[in-house]
Amino acid sequence: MTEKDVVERLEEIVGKKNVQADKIGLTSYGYDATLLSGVGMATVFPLSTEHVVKLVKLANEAGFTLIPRGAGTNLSGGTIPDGRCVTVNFSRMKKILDIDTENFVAVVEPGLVNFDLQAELEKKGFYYPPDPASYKATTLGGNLAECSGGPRCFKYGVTRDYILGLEVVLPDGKVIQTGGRNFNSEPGYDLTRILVGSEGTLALLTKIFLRILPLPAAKKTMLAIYNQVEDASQTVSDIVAAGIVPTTLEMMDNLLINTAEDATGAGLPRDAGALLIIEIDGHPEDMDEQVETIAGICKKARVREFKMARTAAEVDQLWLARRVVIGSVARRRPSYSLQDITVPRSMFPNMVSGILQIAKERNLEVGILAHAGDGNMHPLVLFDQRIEEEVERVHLAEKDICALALELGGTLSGEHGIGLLKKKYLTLEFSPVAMACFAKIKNSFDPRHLLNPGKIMNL
Amino acid sequence: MGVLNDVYEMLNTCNKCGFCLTACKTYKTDLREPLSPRGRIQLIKKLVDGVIEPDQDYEDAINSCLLCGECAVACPSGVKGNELVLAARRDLKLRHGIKPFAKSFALKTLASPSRLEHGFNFFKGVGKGLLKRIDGLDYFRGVDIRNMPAAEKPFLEQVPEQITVGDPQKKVAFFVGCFLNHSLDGTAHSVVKVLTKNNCDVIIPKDQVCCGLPQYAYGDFESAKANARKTIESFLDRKPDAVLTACASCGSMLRDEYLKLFADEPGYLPRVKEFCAKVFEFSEFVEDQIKLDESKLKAHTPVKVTYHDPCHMARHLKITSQPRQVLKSIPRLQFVEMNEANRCCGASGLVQAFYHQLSTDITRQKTQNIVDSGAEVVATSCPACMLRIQGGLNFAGKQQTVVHVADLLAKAYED
Amino acid sequence: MSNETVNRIKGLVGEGNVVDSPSAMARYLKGQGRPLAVAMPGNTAEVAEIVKLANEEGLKIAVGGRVVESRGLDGGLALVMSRMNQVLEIDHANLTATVQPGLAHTEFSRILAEQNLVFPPEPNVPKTGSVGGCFALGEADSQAFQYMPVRTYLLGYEMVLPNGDILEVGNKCIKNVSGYDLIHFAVGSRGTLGIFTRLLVKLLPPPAVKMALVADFASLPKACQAMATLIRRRIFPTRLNLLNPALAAGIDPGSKGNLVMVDLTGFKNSTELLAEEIAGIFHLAGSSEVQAVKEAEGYAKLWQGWLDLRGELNTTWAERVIDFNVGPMKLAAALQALTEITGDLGAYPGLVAEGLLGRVRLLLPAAGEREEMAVKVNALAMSFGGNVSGNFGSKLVCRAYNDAEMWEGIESLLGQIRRQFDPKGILAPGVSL
Ligand SMILES: Cc1cc2nc3c(=O)[nH]c(=O)nc-3n(C[C@H](O)[C@H](O)[C@H](O)COP(=O)(O)OP(=O)(O)OC[C@H]3O[C@@H](n4cnc5c(N)ncnc54)[C@H](O)[C@@H]3O)c2cc1C
Ligand code: SF4
Ligand code: SF4
Repeated sequence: MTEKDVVERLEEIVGKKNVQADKIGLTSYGYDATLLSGVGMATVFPLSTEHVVKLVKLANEAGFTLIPRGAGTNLSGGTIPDGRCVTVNFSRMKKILDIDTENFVAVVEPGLVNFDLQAELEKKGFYYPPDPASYKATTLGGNLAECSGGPRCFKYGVTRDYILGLEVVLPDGKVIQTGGRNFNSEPGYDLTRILVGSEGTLALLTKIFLRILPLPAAKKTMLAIYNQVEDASQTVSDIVAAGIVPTTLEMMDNLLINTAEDATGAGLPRDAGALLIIEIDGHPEDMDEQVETIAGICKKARVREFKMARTAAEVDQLWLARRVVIGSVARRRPSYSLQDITVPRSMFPNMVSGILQIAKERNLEVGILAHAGDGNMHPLVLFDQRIEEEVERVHLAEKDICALALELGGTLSGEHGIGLLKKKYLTLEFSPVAMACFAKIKNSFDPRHLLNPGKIMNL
Repeated sequence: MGVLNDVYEMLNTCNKCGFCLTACKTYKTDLREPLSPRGRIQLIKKLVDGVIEPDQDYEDAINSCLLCGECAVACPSGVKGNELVLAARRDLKLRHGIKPFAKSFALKTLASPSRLEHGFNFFKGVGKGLLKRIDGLDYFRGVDIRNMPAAEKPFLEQVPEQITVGDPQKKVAFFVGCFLNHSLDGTAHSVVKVLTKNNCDVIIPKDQVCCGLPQYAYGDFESAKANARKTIESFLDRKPDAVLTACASCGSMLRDEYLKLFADEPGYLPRVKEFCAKVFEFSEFVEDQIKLDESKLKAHTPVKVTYHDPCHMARHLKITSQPRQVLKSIPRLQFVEMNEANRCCGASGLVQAFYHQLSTDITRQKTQNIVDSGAEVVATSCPACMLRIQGGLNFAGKQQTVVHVADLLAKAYED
Repeated sequence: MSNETVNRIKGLVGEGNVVDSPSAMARYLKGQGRPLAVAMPGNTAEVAEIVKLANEEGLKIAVGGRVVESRGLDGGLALVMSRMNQVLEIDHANLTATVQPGLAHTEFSRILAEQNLVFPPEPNVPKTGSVGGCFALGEADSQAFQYMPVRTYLLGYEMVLPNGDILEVGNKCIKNVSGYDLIHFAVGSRGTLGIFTRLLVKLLPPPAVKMALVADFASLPKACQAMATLIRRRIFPTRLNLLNPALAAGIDPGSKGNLVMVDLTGFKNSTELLAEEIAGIFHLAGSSEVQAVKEAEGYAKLWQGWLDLRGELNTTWAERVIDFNVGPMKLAAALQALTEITGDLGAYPGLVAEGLLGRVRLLLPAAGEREEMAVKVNALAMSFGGNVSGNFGSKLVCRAYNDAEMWEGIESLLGQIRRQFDPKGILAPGVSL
């Protein structure tokens, strides 16, 4: 089938309005939030499970591959097209099918934006805990496919922990439902779990059953300011060791404090070495006791200033500053390389000093952002894509950072996924046996390698 | 390509994080990447890089932008999507003039006062009657044509050039703007009334022309400059204390964009600066410059009012508290906020004419928010928004009416 | 399997660690199958060798902590992991433990308690359950609302695959999305994917206070209403379990009717306030007696009773149990509707409801009618947005929707995965997916 025929058939399935195959469209769906890009044949916008089934059947018949895509904000190259492929963009499948607050379940389509769901839930006094910093733009399908985390993970866990069930279209066009509305309804293998984080390589999601929770009765947001990064990371270890489970323990270093301040004017201290945003939630009666313990720990670690956000506006300012950090570094240099390594919590201070060391050796500017409570770190290496020699050094630094994380007993990716970007490092983390198991999983679902080929691993 | 090379650093700063997607009404309505800020920016960059051509699809992406500036507010990296789109439109203009014919006709009409009057006259007479008779054309491209007001004769012909008061505190030159002149003359009268009630002499230069924003927004800087120069000279000649406009869009053009427009003429720039420093938007002037004497305000019939922030007010002029303050000072007026008060209503210059489906969908979201707020009256500060939103409400069969802040305030003064 | 094979196995794990006389094997087996031998490997290498040998000889293998399900194992080999029962490491800084799979669940809890740590999942069978078994079955338990399902506690493992390869995945990071999620996928695979030989599990610090409330309700609907009221008031205890009179008597001999058991763990201030509030709500809802259990011994005894009951449901009574889910707030209505099938539930042989999960387990008078009942119960559960749990339930749902294609899709996918991992069909022959 020629490309033109394929486009015509696509239009028959979803209607002309829901196919974009012009040059502009191809360019626009060729990138994600990484520096990679590619070009496919067309982009389609399915509106229903039925559309998706027909698309999959056509792909089988006409021999092209499918690239599922949500909002294209992934940081792994997970939606980059390549050649004879069609991007299946879920942005128009965005209905909320059910919000059942009595039974803690929401049922949604995958193109729904995380923020739009949160807004609806909030009206009913509920929320969906996983909230990646990018939650205003990202789709729940994308969140699920990457198993996204967020600042609240430390206490509440990642996307995986909030997915009760799924409806998916398999690469052979069959529709199956996995899990259900309850914790307990998984038959045989936990298919839901293997689909979470599968980066669009196993099946196309068409419906998601999410666990939702009532908003906590009380919440306290604290800001701890340090002269030195080392003191901040010591605080993190101490809080964890004390058995306190804040919802959030976010760290940013001096460079990021400054770029975030440029972006928001939230009033962060520009001369601080590092800061921690600490948030706890729960019963109002328990707040004071916990705040006191935390304050004590911070003091012991030579905190320069310990502040409580007093008003909702102050809390919002802090969170705004936190959420814009990654993008804000572009104010300093146009490009950044962002790692997503995670280390055991006890290794957190070692990893921080290791990154600083690597930056110095490679003569690069690095900012460190960390979901510190769970050891997940995003070192941001700043550079300019147009300077080849610098790009070389950035690649070396990336590799050093990954190797160090693995050496400290960590992992390559805590929440962003592997995609195209990190697959070259995957064999550093996994043995040939594990790689063979990955291939078994992929081949069980998608023996013809129809879905998102080349992502996670080459087969 | 010069224009785009000038902004290349900013194009390159966009790291495609997508944080701006949710902020953009055209994206949230259409849900395709090319109609998002990130999409538009990347397309502009690819154009400079020589990867794509400026074809019709490209122009659609660029021309459908509302220039509402929401993306610039949302961007953590400091990228200003609206300014990049503006540069891209300028680039298109330089490449081949403004295409297609209809667009350029509309812009030329606006640029020339006589043609504009012709246009409105046609509309008032034959055009409106004609359209009325054709079923289904009442709501031409989402604009409620049947009920669109048109002034019997232009406001500028209804009033003398100078209106003086007994004990003048200030001398204010009133920049009326196309919409108030030809369509919403009642609002223009309201402005004059409020000013005179507050002891201001009002000068209304007869020779005033369009501020030049429509031309500027679509990259025709030459026409825009011509109009700007006329405006600056005509108003400065009258030596006013303040130049007042009741149109947020004109306001942002007169006060901010003129400076950018003449950035390449250092010799003339001081005069531009002198002019810009005198420009005030209506409620800003009322709140900050003349300090309302609330005791003089008469009680209204009780009314529940909400306020719509025009894009040019909220994000260009950054005036948001003053209009609310003015409204709250009116006795027996109950003020309520609507959801997403500062989001674009979908009017945005010519977008409503050429991307009407998109624009209509956006307006529908605005009217829904208004209805949900429970208000009976929507006040705002931009005639384009007034017409657009009123059209949307009528279209949806709603009873709410849209007025200018000046209209409500004027009503509170005894005649 | 010949004697020669048994001898080779003895050679691999040591003579003393293989049992092959039927009478000696009996204590390690449940079910009707007749394996040739029971072997107790002592380390990963031995397990791998055995699996390789099984590959050569086409031998089937089933695994258990202390007791092995022998269904389908005729002429095969039962592996009992009880010798691999060590705690290899407890890492206080990272709140993790590395253990061998044969470690008894209760023993593990005891060791952790000494070190002031907790492993929250409830043992499936307190007497015989192992940590390996806990993850191999991977059920959600009645604390899952607060502490999350069992899988949350698995951070990594070492596993001998059906071809004898040794798979190692995971690490001490609580956030990990590298590659496909083999870690959590293995939870609940019931020995079909491979044999756990080492587990890395997540621990928690203990809560500041623990206490329980036990309330007697003469009326089952009223007990359900009382539980619903808690949820509506946004009071979420750690456990909220309901037992009908037949089962209640086993836990609290003094109880007269239906028993609601509430577990509260958390900070001191809020826990005490909550206890008072809950007691008040229960009184108002018609409980004849609400008793607070605060001292450690009574608390421990109470919940041990619950765990033992759970164990019975999972073993002795397993063939008589129908397990279904509806939403937590739909329990009252669902149980009301259930009486139309079962008659008075108060007089029924057994009923357990886990209030926060909306999960019900019904103990039938006899095993024979299970299938027929399950069809009815499933129809009922579906009308409340739930279904009968597990594989069987899923099949029933598909049948009810008349969706042969969907069921075929699931079944063929599960089969495909199993074949990919175990092409010769060696592991867990008694388990059908
Ligand atoms: C500035 C910035 C901050 C970020 N912060 C965080 C953070 O705090 N935590 C975090 O975890 N991530 C973060 N991310 C990463 C990113 O936002 C997440 O990975 C997000 O979940 C991607 O969602 P998306 O809708 O953009 O998906 P996309 O990027 O479009 O797709 C992501 C993956 O999902 C697949 N996919 C999408 N929809 C479907 C479907 N319906 N069926 C099957 N597969 C599908 C795609 O094939 C792809 O592999 C951040 C990104 C940026 C740019
Ligand atoms: S314009 Fe700003 S917010 Fe939008 S994608 Fe680019 S960097 Fe991100
Ligand atoms: S200016 Fe408004 S319409 Fe244009 S890209 Fe930005 S947000 Fe979208």
